[in-house]
Amino acid sequence: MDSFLHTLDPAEFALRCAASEGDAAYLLYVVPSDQSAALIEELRLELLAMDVAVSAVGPRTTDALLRAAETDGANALLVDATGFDAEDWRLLDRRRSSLQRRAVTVLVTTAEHFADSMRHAPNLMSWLGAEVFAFPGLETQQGKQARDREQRLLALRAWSGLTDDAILEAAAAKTLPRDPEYAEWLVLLGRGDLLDA
Amino acid sequence: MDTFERSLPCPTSAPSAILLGMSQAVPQTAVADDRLTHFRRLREQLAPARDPSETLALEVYVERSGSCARRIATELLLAPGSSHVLIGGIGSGKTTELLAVQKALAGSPDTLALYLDVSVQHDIAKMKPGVVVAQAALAIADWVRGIGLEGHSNEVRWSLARIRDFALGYVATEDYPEQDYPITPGILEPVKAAEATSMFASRIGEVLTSLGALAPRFVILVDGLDRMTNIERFEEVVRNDISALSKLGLGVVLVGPLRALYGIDRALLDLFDRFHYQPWLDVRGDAGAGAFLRELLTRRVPSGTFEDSAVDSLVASSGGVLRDLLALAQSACVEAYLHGGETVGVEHVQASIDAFGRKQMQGLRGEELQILRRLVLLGEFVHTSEDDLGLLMTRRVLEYRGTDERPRYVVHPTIVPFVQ
Amino acid sequence: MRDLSDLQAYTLGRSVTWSGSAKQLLRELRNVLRTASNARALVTKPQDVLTYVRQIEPRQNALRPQLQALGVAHEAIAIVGGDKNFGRSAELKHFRRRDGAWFDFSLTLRESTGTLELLAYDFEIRLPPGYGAPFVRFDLNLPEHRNEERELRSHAHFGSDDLLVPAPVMKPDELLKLFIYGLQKERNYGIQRMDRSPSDFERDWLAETCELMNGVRLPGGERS
Repeated sequence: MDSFLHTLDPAEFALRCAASEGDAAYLLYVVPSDQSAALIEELRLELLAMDVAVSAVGPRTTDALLRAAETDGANALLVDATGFDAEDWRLLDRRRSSLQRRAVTVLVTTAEHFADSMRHAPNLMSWLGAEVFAFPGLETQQGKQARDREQRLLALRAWSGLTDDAILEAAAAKTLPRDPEYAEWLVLLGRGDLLDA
Repeated sequence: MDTFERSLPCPTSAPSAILLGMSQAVPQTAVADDRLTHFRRLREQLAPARDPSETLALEVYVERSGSCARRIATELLLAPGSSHVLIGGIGSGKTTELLAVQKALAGSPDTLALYLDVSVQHDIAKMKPGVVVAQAALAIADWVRGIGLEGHSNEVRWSLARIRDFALGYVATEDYPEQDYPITPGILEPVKAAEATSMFASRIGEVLTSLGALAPRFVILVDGLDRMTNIERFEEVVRNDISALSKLGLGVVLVGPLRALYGIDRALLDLFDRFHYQPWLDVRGDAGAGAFLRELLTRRVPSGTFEDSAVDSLVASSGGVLRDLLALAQSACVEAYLHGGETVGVEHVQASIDAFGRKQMQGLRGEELQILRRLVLLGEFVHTSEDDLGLLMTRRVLEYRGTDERPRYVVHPTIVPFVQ
Repeated sequence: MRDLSDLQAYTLGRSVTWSGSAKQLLRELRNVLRTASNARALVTKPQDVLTYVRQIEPRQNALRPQLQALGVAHEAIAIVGGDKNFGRSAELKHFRRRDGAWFDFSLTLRESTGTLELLAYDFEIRLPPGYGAPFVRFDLNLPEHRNEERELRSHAHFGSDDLLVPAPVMKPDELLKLFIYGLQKERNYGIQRMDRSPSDFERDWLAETCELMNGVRLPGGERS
C-alpha cells in the first residue's frame, strides 16, 4: 500500500482551511518548489473568496513567521516555508509556544523540507494531526481536465448524432444552430474563434 | 395576480422575490444551525493545539486514574520544597498535567504554583544554567507587583529592581545573543553562570525573607525543557538551577526530555526527589484506558456528535496518545462537514486515520522502515540506536508501561497498514 | 419570430459584460452553492460543490497559437456545474435541493483583460412531482446570424423543449440563486393558503399526456 500523501488542489485545500477557521488549527501543503509562489497566491485568493481574512508571510524566514504569529490578527496565516531547513524546523519546534494562536496557520513547503520537519520538529508536526496534503501536480490536473472535457464532448456527440468535424464545418459556414450546447462544443474543441462566425 | 393575492399585506421579502416564487430570502448571514458554523464549533472544542489552560478553564479536563497531577500536588503539599521531574512523550498531556497541578494547589491557602514556559522568552537551544532561576525570579517578582507588595519594604523594592536588571542583561535574547551582560550603566562585563544563579537566588531569598508570612510557599512549574535535545546542557540546568531553587525551599516541577528516560541519561532523574512518568495509554492492554479516552473525547462535544463506532475507531487508532486522539477527531469533523454528514461517522474517521498515517510515514528512512516492520511482524523493538530513539520521539513507535513497569512497544496504529 | 424584435431587445437589455475573471466567477459560483449547502438549502456536499463546478479546459489545437498571434483567439471559457445531462438522469452529477429538485448548468463566456462577456448558457432544474412542470430551463443562445431568423435569444422552457417563453438575461449567480431559493412550491405570506385542487382540465391534460408519452415514440433522441 503506498503511503503517499493525499492530493488536493488549492481550492479543496483552502476549503479545509476555511472549515478550520476560528480555532488554533495548523495545516500543511506540500508543493513543488518551482510552483510555490503561484500556489501560495492561489491559496490566498481561494481563502479570500471564502471570506477568510488571510495574511501571507514570506519569504521563508522563521523570524518573519514568529513575528507574524505574535502580531498578525488575520484569521489565516499563510506561510511560505519552502526555504525552511532542518535548523529552521528545530528552532520552530523549540519556539512552538510562540506559534500558538487562535487562528489557522498554513505552512506551505516542499516534500524534502516536509521530511525535515517530521524529523526535526516532531512537537510542531504533532499539531498538524491529519491535515497534511500535497498539490496533485500539473500533469495529474491536466489529465483530469482532459478526461472531463472528453466526457462532455462524448455527451454532446451522443445527443446530436454529429461529429466534431461536422460542427466545425457548420460553424465555419454560419449554419451552426445557436443553442448554448453548440457554443460549449466549440469552446471545448478550442475553437472559440468560431463563436462569432 | 388575482384579487386575493393583491389584498395580502406586503411581505418582508423584496417584490421581485415574490414574483419569482421565492419562499425564503437569500441568506445574508450564517444562521444558528449553519453546517459550517456547527462543525467549526466542534473542531474548536476538540483542539489539541490550543492553550492547555483553556482545557482546564472549560472544565473538560478528565483526570486519568493514577494521575500524575494528583500525585505531584499531594506530594508538594506534604513536602513543599520537593523537586519533581515529569517525563512523557509528545502529546501525552504533560503541560495539561502541569496546569492541573497548579489548579490543584490553588485550593491550598498557603501554596502558590507559578507556571513558566521557559521556551517562550528564551531559545532553549541557547539554554544555559541560570536561565530557569532568572525566569522563576521574574515570575515571583511579577506576583509581588501584582498583589501590590512592591512597596512593602526597601529590600523588596531593591530586590525586584535588581531581578529585572539581571534578567534583562542575562537571559539570552536577540540583542544579546551569546554574551551574558548584566546591565550596569556604562560598563559591560561577562558573568559566569554560577554568579548569575547566585545573584537571582539571593534576590529571591531577600524578597521571601522580607515578605515573611505574606509570601506563600512557591512552587515553580517549569515547562518547555522537554524540547531540549542536548542532554548535557539539560543536566547543567538541573544541577545548577533546580538545585538553587530547592535550596531556597521552593517546590519545583519540571517537564524533562523524553530521552532522559533511556540509557545512561536515566541517571539524571536521580537529581530530583521524585520522577513521574506520563505514559501513553495502552488502549489494547488496559480497559480503563479506553474508557478514559472515550470520556475525554465525548466530554468535549455534544452527545451524539460521534457515532459509537466512530468513537471506538478513534480511540483504537490514537494509540493512546491524547493529542493524536483529539487531532484525529478534529479531522474527522472536517471530513463530516465536507461530505455532508450531520454526525461524525466511522467513514469520516477512517478518512482521517488514513491521512494521519500517511503524514506519519513521510520522511522515514529505509533503516527506520525496517525497524517498524520488525516490530509489526515480530514484535521486536530494542532501542539501542538513535534511529530507535528517533522513532519513539516522533511517535512512530509507542511505549506503554504496564503495572509491572515493563515496557511494551507497538507501531502507531495509523501507520501499521503502510508498514506491513 | 414575427415582429418580436422589441421584446428581443428588452430581454437582452441588460449588460452581459462585467469586470472580473473566469477564476473569480468560478469562485463566486462555488460560494453561492456552498453557502446554500451550509444552510442546508442544498443537500449537495461542500466537497461536491467544489468538484462539480469547474472550468473545462479546451483542447489545444494547432490553430491556437496562430489565432492568439492574430489577436482573434477570443479566449472563450466554459464553466460548468454538474455533468452534461441531456437524458435528465439523476445518476449523473448534479446539485440537489432539500425538496428533491435538482439542477445543473453550463455557460460559455469570453474573457478579456479584466472583463467577462456572457455568450451562452443553459441552466436546467428538474422539479419533484406536483410542481406544475417537470423541468424549467433558462437558455441564452448565441446571437443569430441573420435578423429574419432571430429566435428569442434569451428564453425559458417550462416542461417542454419545444415551447419557449421570453426571459431576461440573467447573470450566472442570479440563476443559481433562483434555482436554490426560488421556484419553490410553498409560498408563505403569513396567511394560511388554501390548497388549490387541480382542475378537470389539468387532470385530463396530464392523463392524455401520459398516454401520449407511453404510446408514442418521440423522434430525434431523448429530448424532443
